[in-house]
Amino acid sequence: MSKVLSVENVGKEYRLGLVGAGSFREDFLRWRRRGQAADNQTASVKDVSSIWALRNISFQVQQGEALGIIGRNGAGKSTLLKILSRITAPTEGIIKARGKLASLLEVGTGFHPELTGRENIFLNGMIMGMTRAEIQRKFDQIVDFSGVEQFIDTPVKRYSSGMYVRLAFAVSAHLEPEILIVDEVLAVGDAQFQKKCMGKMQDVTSGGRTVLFVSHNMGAIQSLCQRVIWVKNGQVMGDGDSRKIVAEYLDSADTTSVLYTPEPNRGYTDLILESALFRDSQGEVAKTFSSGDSIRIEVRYNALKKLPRPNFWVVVESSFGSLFGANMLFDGASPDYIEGQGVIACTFSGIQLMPQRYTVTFGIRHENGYNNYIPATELGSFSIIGGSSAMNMSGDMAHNFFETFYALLVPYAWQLPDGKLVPVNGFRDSKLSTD
Amino acid sequence: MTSNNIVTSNEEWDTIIRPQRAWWDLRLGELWRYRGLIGLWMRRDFVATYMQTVLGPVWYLFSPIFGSLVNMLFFNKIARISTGDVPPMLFYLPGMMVWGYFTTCLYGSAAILFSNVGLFGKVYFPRLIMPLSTMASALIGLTLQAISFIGIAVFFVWQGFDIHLTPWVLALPFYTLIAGFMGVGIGLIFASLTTRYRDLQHFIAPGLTLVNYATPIVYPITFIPDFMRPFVFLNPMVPIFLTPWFQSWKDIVTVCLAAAPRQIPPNLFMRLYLPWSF
Repeated sequence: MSKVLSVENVGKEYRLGLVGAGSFREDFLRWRRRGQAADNQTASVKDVSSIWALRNISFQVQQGEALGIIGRNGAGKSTLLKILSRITAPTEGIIKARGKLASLLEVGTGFHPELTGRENIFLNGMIMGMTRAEIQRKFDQIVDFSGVEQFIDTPVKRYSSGMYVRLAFAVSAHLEPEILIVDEVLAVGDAQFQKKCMGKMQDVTSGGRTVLFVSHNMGAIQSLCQRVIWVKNGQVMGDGDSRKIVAEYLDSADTTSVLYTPEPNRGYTDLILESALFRDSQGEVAKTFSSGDSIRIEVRYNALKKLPRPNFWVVVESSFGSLFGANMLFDGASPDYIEGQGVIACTFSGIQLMPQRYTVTFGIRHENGYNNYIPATELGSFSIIGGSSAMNMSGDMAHNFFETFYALLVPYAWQLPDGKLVPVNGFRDSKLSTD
Repeated sequence: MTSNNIVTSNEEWDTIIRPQRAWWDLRLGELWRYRGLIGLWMRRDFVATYMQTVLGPVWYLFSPIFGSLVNMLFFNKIARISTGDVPPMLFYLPGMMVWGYFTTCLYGSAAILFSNVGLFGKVYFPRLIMPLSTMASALIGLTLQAISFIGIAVFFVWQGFDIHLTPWVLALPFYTLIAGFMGVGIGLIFASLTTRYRDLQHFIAPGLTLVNYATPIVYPITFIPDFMRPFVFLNPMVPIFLTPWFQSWKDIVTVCLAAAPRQIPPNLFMRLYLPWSF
């Protein structure tokens, strides 16, 4: 394996403040103000500051490698992508690439509705960096792939949106660059297209080419990439095996120390919530789980005095609202009393959840059930990971939307009009036969 | 996807992305590799502009001919500014054509960053392709206009006017290119400045009107008093319009002598402007 991309100490500085306020007059006034300010109080006025969106970014990519780039919004991923696709220049550092470098930030760039399919193939292909000869050689393949050969000499404004996207993607799919940069922006496209795109990316890497994939979708990242770079605050926080880095990234979410200190003015004086963590079925601290796993929620508290019959409760929530929980007021499991430091844990087994992020809220009620020792407090959040394939979701839309439609994953079966039974999620029911 | 072009493992890099480039580095090699785009863009502009018009490319002829008629009325008939031995129509028309080409290039280049924001933010290709294709697209119009001009000139000769082509006509493509590059260069200066100062876009049209009247387009150079001639040549557009590719014999000697040594400035200006605006 040989190096195909080498990023060395790359940094990008953006100027902040009122740079380019938009009118010459404003700039002139500011320039004059600055002059006066300099007279009055030297060097205290500095209305142009700068921020390093990226700093000291270095990594190397081998041929045939699929590299994932993750990080929160604003971490610098997009800036890195823009520099790599040469839309913006770095402030410092150097990037060296061997072979053609193409970025798929959008398909159909430069398509013009008045031009025919044929003309748009050439225009789009050449914008993306293909030569005329190259396009001519691949022209038939592209047309075949798009399935619009009948309309190839029709202006694309007469195409259906599906045909348009197919043609646009067909061109992108035949770019055959040595290094392909893909942004998750693509994920908002047509579902069919996205499926094709994912498949194509797998083809690309197995064909010895290199893919850089930027995404928020940890499932997609893990299924496509062996290696992941984690960008945080413009710097590389982690670089290595995708499973390990993704786990670190998700764990980093919010390390909790003291979650709750007594608030005397609100009447809560007796309990300190020291820390909380989640453990998987092996007892390892974790922030990511798979559907079907067990999750143990562990809370460390400090009771400043002897508190009789505290009622602990915990609720797991998603963006849809409260999903499930446990409450000692209902199940009657409360201890006789607590005093000093202690740990209380609650384990939920076989959590059947869709790949999303879930928050856990916790509280302790008085024995009477109406007053609180500790009011509702967010302990933190965990994620369920797994792409559509891991969840046995193979429908056309599975790639984009499936995890956002609902939170709970309950086994079910379709009974089709012809009586055929389609079980999903390990559905089992003796009353329904599957013949 | 076949992997027939896997690169060998020698330490050679094809693409190097660095922070800054020297201002004179136009990366013409890269431009050459992408040259095919210019033709496609030309076609795109042409199709997009004239697809759903009834007269189509005939519109290219409308503006200079109409402009010349207006000039004939106001400058020749009313203001009585003589056009020498050349019939007014033949005097105004080439000037209108070349000036039109110049302004098309200028306006097109000045709008380049605003009109291609989506494209420039999505994909890399040498940005210089865009103004160059504007220049190339405008050339279609100029060619059509030139053909119609030849027709009109032939008509005047047939009517018995004493007019001849001069050897300078051979320099015509060269001057056309200079006018185009001037337009692109100045346009790009405005393109980069207007990203910061939007005010400047309002300066273009009146500025062009001013330069238009400071250039001997609607009047002959002989109309300008002798003592002012040197100052007129401070306007970089002047030498382009002075080239007597089409005049009566009598004028040629004087005007050639006046204009020839001053052919350098536009060229020099082009060299100064074009790289600077990138």
